[in-house]
Amino acid sequence: MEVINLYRDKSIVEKALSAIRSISPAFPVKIMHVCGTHENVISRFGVREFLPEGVSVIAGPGCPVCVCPSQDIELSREFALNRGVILATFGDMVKVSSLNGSLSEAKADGADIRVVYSPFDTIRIAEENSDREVVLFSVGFETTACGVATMVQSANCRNLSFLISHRLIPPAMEFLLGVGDLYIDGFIIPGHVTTVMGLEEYNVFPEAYRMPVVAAGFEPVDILMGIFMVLRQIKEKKAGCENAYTRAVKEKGNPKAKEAIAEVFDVVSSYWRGIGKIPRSGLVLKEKYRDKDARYRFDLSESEPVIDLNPGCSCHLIMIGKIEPLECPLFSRTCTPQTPYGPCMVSFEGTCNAWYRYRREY
Amino acid sequence: MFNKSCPNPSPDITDLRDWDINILLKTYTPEYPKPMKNCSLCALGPCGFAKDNHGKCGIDKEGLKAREILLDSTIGASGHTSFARRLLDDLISRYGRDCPVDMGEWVRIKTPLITLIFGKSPKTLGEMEEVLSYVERGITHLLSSINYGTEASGEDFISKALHAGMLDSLALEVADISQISALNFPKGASDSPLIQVGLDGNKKKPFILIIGHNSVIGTDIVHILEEKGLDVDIGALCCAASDLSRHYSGARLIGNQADQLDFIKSGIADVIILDAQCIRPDVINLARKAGSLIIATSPETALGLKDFTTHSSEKVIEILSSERAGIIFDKKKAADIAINSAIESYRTKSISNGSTPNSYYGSIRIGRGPVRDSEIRGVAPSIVMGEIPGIVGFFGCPEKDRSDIYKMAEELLKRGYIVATGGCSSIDLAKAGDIFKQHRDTFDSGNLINFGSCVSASHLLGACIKIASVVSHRPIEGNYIEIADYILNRVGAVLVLWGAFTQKAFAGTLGAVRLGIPVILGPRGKGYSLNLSGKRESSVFDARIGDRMNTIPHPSHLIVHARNREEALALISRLCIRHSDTTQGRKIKLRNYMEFYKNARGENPPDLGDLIRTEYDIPDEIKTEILHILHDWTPGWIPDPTLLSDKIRGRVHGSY
Repeated sequence: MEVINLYRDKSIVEKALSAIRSISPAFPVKIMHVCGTHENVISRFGVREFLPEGVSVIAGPGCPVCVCPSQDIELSREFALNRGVILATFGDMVKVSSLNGSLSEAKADGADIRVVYSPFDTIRIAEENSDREVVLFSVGFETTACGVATMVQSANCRNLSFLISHRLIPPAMEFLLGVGDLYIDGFIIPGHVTTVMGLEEYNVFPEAYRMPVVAAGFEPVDILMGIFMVLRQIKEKKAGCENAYTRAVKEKGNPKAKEAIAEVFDVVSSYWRGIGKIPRSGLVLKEKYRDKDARYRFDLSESEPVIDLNPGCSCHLIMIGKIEPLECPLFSRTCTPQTPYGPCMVSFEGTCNAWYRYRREY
Repeated sequence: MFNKSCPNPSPDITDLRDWDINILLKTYTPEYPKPMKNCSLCALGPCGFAKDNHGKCGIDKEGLKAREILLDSTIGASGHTSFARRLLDDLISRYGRDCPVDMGEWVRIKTPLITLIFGKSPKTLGEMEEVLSYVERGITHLLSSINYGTEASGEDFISKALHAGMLDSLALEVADISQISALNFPKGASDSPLIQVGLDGNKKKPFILIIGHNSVIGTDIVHILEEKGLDVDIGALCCAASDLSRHYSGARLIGNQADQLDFIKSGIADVIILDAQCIRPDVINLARKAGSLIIATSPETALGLKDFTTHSSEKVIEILSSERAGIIFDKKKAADIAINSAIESYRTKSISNGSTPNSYYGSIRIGRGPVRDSEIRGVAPSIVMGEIPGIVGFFGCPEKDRSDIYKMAEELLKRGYIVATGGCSSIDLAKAGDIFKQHRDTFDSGNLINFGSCVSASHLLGACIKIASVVSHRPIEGNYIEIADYILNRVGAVLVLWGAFTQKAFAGTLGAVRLGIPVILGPRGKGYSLNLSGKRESSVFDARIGDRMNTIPHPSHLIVHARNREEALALISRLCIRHSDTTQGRKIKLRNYMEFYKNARGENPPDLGDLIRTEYDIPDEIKTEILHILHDWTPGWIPDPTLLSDKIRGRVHGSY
């Protein structure tokens, strides 16, 4: 608690803001973060309101629930509704909808769907229901992947399999730099992902793109330090990969976690909802774990994603930072957390959900 | 008139001049490889230009050469436009002006080229007429520029030639989308059925052969045969066949235009129906000698024949049995007469068991039409990131040696390129081997897609527009320059017109080039007399930082010709390189380029230093070797590329 209080201390926040103001350039600067938790912190503490004019922080595709493609949700519904399995997944995934419905709607139709707060809870479910197949629908980035990797390696339940929908952040960042018209000046990268993966794989951004990159934690001072360090790089005309979350992030990350991921998963191209198929951005179970891969165990192939988002939804623009939620005509009108129209409003980590909850007028 | 949301709808012939002259021609130099000939365009000539550098009218050499380019491109554009107009008129007369533009449920952007250029998407065949009127108006003005005492500037002639190319691409899309909608052609489904190319064995029934492009005459014949339950074979060459098979799977796709002479001489056809374009001028004499009847159906190809359009069908059948050839402009009547004449001719002809000039060649997929939205989402990020190394389109006229195009396609497919084709080139591929059987036709890495006939080449340009739109989220309505800038800098696509020699193919070349898609012409290509070669001293803006980055252009050329397939492969891989390639994408492309270049020239490419932005771009397995040979190389960076100064964010890096 003491640590948290320190990173929310008003006097330290003011000092950080003062430093930011002193270093901010005269021209507009746009910093992108790629983490739903960062967006929650920024929205909750009103960070944007205190930044100098011209310094903006935009949200990238950092919400794993938002970018989970509708065809993966469809597959999970197929398992739950028609294959008689117990489908375990994380809280927000139950609410987000494909074009045919959500897992909560499937539950209302009789599917056995269980919310888990840790992937390891699924082992208990599998042990308690040894006469039934249990599938963990795992959606997340590298942080989730390392936990699931150790679970795949160690879990002995023969009735447990995995529907993997994991994505990797750095290729998505490279994609964003090719989109055009975004004018990103620097990235703040997720503290928990870099705790696992380290900073090495982000070196390509400063070295090949001249793009400042800073790893930041999840308290207001952490965010402000991240912003300050990006601005400092811009002022000094030196792009580098810096660490503003030294209490958790190491240069090489967590070697054991990385080993587990590399041992269990292959890197493949992967669909990101609203964006398309980004190369090298997804994980699938390696061939040696194919018996634990629900897609193979149940002989289910993905259908072609005909429509990705509902007509009129702006999530595809919000998740790449092209527009802000307030620019979406449906935001807080037709689309609310109670009646979400697009995935960004569903998840706690979604940009629209965060903006709605904290009701800031920018 | 121009607003931000639709900046340049229906541009006039100089409205995109800034893009042509101040951007494209500042980056790519026009070269004219053909020796200059005398000019006899007006009665003051012929002007030899030998003694002075001006013709009698005052035009200089540059202007003269460029004027030839405009003339060729306008002739070509008029070919596709005229075809589109005839086709649209025929379709409207049969299906009505209110026949909807229907591209199926999988295609949201139904008319990418029309939407980009014209500014809005037609909803019916009737609304397509408005688009064609715009095209026809433009061609008139372009032709007018060639008149004595009108345009004189070399640069402006090239700009106008590019405009002709753009209009040509518009006409292609009008034609194909109209026929897809009205005749219910395939609307982008994958796993398109395979059909045989060629004819088998001896003839066993009356045979009608169509040579030309208009699918309506073929479909009219098919409908009559179905209605009356008649057993007559119908086949066609190239585009007529490609498109007929998209409507009727029983149509024989017997070959492409390279087979025309052999099939006419064989006498296998009881009736030959002529439409327009790609028809041999000596077809009448050859067909008469071989015993085939000729029915010409297009005013563009009257061939000195008598016009029997207003005669009764019975009278015409009687006349044709002696005259052996005639014109019938009413296609429905022509269809009826062709069927009856074929049946009668088969019954009485002494060569009733005429043998085919070929046996079955191979198989080809029925032209599938547009690229689906889901396919675009599946490949767009990888194309812009360069990690699918490129989209390569093989279109254009046939070549005698089909093995070149086959081996090129094979090699590219192995390396993960998306290979698309249509028209005579697609049939060349089918004739050379089993390549269509070996590859799926989903628009994805390592797959081979047959779009259809020559007019289906519009779907390749349309796919590039959709990729630009899906990734950048820039609006496409009337937004030609921004989308062309995006495609030029970020969408690794190349057209290969390996056997091209017609004016139409040249117009198609220029339509692609103006949109930012480079074109490689085969050995015949220098007959077109225009290359657009990248200037070494060039630059691109980094839109994010605001700096100019000195660099050779990517693509390195916009029009280039290759002497052989080894050279072509090296060029293809080179011209797919784009500024927006990620480090991984650049590695993949460099690997391909180096291997192809070594195969062609026996050494490493000399321009590696221009293509390696940072060490991250170098394939890992040869990093040491490459760093060793890079002299005076300094690392650069990966820009946010644009050639448009108004896309720059408006500051120079580091300025306060």
